[in-house]
Amino acid sequence: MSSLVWDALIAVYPFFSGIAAGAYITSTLPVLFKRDELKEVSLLALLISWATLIASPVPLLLHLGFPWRAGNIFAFPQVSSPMALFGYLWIVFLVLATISIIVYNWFYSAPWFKNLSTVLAGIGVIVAILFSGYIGFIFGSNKAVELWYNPIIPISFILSAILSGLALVAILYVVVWRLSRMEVNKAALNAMGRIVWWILLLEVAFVGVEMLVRTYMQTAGWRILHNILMEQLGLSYFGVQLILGGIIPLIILSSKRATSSAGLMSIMSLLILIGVFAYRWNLVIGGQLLLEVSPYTYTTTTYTVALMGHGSIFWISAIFVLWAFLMSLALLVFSNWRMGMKTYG
Amino acid sequence: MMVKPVESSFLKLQEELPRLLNRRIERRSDRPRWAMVIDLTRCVGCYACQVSCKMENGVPYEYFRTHVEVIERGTYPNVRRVFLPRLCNHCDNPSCVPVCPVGATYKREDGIVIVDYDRCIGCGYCVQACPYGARYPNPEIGTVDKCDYCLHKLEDGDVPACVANCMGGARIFGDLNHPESPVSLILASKSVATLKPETGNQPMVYYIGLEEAVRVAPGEAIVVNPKVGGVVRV
Repeated sequence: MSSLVWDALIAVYPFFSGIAAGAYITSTLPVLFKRDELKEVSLLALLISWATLIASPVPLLLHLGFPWRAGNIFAFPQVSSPMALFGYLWIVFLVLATISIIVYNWFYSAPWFKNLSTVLAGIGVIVAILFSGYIGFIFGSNKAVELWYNPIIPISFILSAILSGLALVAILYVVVWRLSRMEVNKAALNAMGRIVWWILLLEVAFVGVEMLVRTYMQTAGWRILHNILMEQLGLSYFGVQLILGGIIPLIILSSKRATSSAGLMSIMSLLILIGVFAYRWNLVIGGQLLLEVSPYTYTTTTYTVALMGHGSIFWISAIFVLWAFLMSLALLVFSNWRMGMKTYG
Repeated sequence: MMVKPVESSFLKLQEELPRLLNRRIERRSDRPRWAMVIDLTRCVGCYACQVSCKMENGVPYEYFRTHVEVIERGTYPNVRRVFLPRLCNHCDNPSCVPVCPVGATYKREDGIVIVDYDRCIGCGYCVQACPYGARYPNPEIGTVDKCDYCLHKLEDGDVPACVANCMGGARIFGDLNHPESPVSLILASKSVATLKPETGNQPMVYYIGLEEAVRVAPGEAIVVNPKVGGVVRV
């Protein structure tokens, strides 16, 4: 069979949820970690988080055998299932993001703004971490799949979520500000670049350590999985995830000149974003290419994305278009981001 | 003039066939706990179980509730083929049950793990969580599907289709709570093993001759390539 139970749509979902969580965390950096130079991007980050959050369940709904039964997650939640958490976390996260946007857009001059934004940021960061972490838990706790069964994955998911959120905020900061003929604040870019670099270092270290341990352990399953990674996923794993989205940005962004340059920061952030998507892809798709059928006996399968139909390029493109539309809409409706540093600075 | 009906053995067989194919469960307790034993030394790899299951349960093309895995062992000229019939293990500690976000899959008191087709949303999480690959997303009904020991037959007192149609008598089905049921007698007298006991799932499908069948050289891993039917050693 060339089709997988969890196809490309499921790879898109953790990518979106990671960006939503990461962008929200980025918006809280000035409030919780006193990174004042990032005040300018707070509302932008919130809007990215909000739009991505709305788009995030779409691939899941399209993937379900019975999309109209999705409400069963709320009606009959089974608490032992990490997936059952999704609906509740998503609603809490969406409500928090919506309140945060309203407060940042219209009530920034209110006397209670600082206190309320701190409370919202504090709760929001926890929810965002849970939101990206639980997806990592779904994969990391699955003992049936050799590639997924790994306690590092939830942590790695949280790190890559922050990474992808920060990267997208950096890209859109440059693009939207340039399109609006506003000046890009180099201090803000540099601050994002430094944080991205440190998190990228941690992420690459985690993935590297995982590989090293697995390679050293040489379990029978891993030896075959290694072959799959080298052959079927060689390009997307080593080429895109590790080198293009990891090592290259890590080297380039180690220089302060690069993190202060709008062009280089945008390109490196784009590479990081592509790398994070490749990570989701390699994990979701790669894990399913190997199936243990009996002790020490495995079958392998292949996967190619169809152009049309279920989980196809058409539907994935449609989701990305919807996502872009939602982000544009959010930027138009909540337009206070135009005030930049004048508002919060 | 009266015409005497022809005594045809074929007609007799036709009459007898339903009774022969619907083997009854004779020794069962009031509160049964169903289990299966598969005797690999008796399996001839005829696929009757696989075909009858598909027919009985309307399993779609390319999917199986039970199937016979063909494993090749050894190196030329000392080679052998092993047939490993596989199905849902109806585990005592199933990993598919707790992961279901809507509680659509559960273990009944009689030990059978089933899917509530009216509640299942078709997310496929249970398919991923099953270490035996026993579940599949049924494209015809939109939900996940799996072996339920032919529950409809079981409720009528018949054994599952795969058991009734096993020509070698390799599949033995019965009630673990009845001391004289076929499975109880086998478990009491023979050495049996389960698939992947290390998962902690406590499977309830037992195999006779499993260790001999799946034995491999230390560190050897085998890839069964479904496309070419070949075997790759890693």
